[in-house]
Amino acid sequence: MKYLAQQAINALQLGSIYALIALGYSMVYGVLTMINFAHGDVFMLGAFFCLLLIAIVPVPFWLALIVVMGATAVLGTLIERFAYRPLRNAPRVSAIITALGCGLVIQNTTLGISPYARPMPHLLDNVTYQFSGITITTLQIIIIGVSVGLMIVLDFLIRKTSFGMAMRAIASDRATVSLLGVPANQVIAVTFALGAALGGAAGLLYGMAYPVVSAAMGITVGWKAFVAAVIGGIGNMRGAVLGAFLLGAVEVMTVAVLPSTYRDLIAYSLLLLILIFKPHGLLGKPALHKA
Amino acid sequence: MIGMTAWTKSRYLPPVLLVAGLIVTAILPDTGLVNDYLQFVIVSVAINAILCVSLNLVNGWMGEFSVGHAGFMALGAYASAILTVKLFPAAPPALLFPVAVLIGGCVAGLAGIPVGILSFKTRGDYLAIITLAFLMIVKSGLENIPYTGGPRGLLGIPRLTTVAWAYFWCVFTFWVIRNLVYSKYGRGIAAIREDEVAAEAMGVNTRTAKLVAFVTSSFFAGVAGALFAHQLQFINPSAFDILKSTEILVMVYLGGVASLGGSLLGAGGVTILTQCLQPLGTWRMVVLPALLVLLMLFRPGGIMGYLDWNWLKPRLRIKPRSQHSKLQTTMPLSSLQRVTPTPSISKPINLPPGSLIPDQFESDQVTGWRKYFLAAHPQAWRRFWARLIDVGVARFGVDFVAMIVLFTTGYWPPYETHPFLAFTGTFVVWVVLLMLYEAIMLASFGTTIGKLIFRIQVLHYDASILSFGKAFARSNQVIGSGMFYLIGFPILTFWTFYRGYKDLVTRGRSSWDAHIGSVVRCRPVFVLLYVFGVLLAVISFASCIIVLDNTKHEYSRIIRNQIIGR
Repeated sequence: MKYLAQQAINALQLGSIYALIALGYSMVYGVLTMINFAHGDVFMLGAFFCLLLIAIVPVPFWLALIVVMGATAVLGTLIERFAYRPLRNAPRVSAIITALGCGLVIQNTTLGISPYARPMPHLLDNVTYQFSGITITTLQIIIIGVSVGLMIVLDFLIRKTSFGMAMRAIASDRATVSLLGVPANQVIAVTFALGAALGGAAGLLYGMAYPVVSAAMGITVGWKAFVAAVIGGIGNMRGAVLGAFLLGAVEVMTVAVLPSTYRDLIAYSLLLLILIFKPHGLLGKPALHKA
Repeated sequence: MIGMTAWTKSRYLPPVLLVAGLIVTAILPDTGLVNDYLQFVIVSVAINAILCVSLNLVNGWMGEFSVGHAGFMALGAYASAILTVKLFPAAPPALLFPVAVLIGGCVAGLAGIPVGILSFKTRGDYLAIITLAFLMIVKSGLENIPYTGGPRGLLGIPRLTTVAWAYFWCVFTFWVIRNLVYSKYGRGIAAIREDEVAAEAMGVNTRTAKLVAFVTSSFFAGVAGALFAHQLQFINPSAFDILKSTEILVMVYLGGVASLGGSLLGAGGVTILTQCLQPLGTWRMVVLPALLVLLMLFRPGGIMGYLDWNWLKPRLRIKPRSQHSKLQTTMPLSSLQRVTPTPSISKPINLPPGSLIPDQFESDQVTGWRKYFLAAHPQAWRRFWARLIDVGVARFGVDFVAMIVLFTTGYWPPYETHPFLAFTGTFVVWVVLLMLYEAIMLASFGTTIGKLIFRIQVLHYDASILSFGKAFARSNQVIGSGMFYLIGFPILTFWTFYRGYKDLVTRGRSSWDAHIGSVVRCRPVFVLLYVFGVLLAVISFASCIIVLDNTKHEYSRIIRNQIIGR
């Protein structure tokens, strides 16, 4: 029982990081029906921005979080403005390819600048608490707390504000919404900024939890988060969070039972199984295909 | 000429050429003309061409988005390697190798069946995700099988992929896919891309078509994987990850979707460019995707998207109605009736600035050899000299860039490897940069430095500035003059002349843009550009002299030692 509870905390930690990244994938897909393959690399850059920031000025954790989120938000907006907006009315495949290309450019530029994995310095003094045999660290509390907090803020933004309403409206019909006077391009840019900021926060938290930062992170972790978004039904925010926690749990349990090399096998088999039986994910709705 | 036409149109020519190619590739390694490195590059081009054209069947002609091609490749590679390493290590390779490659292809093809079946219901993004899941499952499955060495991979594979075998499989792949694509099935596959519901309503069996496309595509991916394994002599699961798939995708979308020639161009171009950019290290993987993003922004179908070279298409057996396809000159009928004197080359046309001149001229105005490629401008000599200056400026610019790279990396260009490679490598880079220079200048200013001097502006027929894509396409012709400038390329020079002649005969002009021969308004930015160009030329000329002083031995290291002093 204690073992299970311990694993559940680990699963929550991994799941909440996945959820932050998956939300970025899902938001962009919801608004533009486009898979933003560069998002995983924005996540990776979040961790590197943090490294860079600490190397220049040693700042406290909260300030680092805010600065990194701001930097990745700017980056996300720039990518949207210069790579995706010119392709707004192009075939979908062009947009996907551009996203892949952007991701590769970011990843390989990082690889060129920093070819080796780097250790992440400690931002917090890590205290370990014991609750009747279950160990939990400050880091885990902060990771889970920050992620859940950001998710609640995002949910509030989407459901209760006029911006959220505009975003949901664009997701359902962009052309009509533009005709009704909603500045669609601005809303899309803000959506990208939000998603990238969440990705940057996830990069920082991931770097703190597993204290090695490398350029390949965007692929290994980023794609996993994408799988989580698809499992939950891409385009659906709550689905993304559900899928992320589910994937985190499955991965932690796999590692607990089987050798860790089976992690990817199980994760992607789960994805395939869910797509075969629920082709649009757990909470996703089938898209309307216009002829 | 008639005899030559009959000879080139003979139905026996393609098989004769292909067999001759096979013989050449079979004896090529023994002649000593190409070293091991060049052979490696040639075989890589062939393997990548197989991968590229087979992925193009699904991604280009069928319009789906598969990212799992490396997975099929991995299956083929492992199946064939198990055969040659584990099961029959003592069998004669000449017999075993073709069988191993075939079996590798068949294993991959079998794996293509479930993916094809899943594609019946799922389309678009979700199908892309399914292929991604397939790839990851194959990769991590292979990592967990101890029999094939797990994550360490399979070692000691015999080197059986020769240039001749690679050539043979490449030709075979192109032949099969060409025949498939231009058949009834192929039309069905293309119809699915355009509109699946309509295709089904018109009687296309979409399920069969999808299955055929997926199985064929994965079969050839497996073949390429088998060749790849026996070329590198070592395979491990991480060689077949998402990056490998992305590399193939880059080739497909750079070369052009739904195009045989595009696949060839993409595979060859990307492979050779990767080899030429070797000194850049990791940064070359920045250059290629950036190129891809730029291409997607300006020309979404790739260089040859939905187009093909005629010699790659099956021949039509029906005679086209050639009499009607020839365009007549579009001089107004009234002028023909009244026999007005046409503007001649000695008399420049004086028109107010900004007014349009019809873009077709009587080809008789330009006489002699010039008319075969210079007939589009009323003052052809202006265009000729302008272009010559542009070529020179771009050439010096490239030398300048090359010098910078040389000084910073010390390994540019790869002269040490092979003189032929060095020559072609720099040539490819030069041509690409020349095209980019001309296209960027035309798309942003409507003129280039050389054209500015001769007061030529190249504009769209509605007097707006050309788009980048159009300007880029147009700069193909600039290369033609570049060939003239570099007399060392007789075949390409001939080709340019021939194309110019053909266009002149059939269309009455040799290029497709409209020219405005009026005065270009002098803007400060043009003057700045001009000064910049002159400076660039002077500096690069000086640096070239430094290089020429040191040509005796290995360029790069000596210059670096002398100048930087390390």
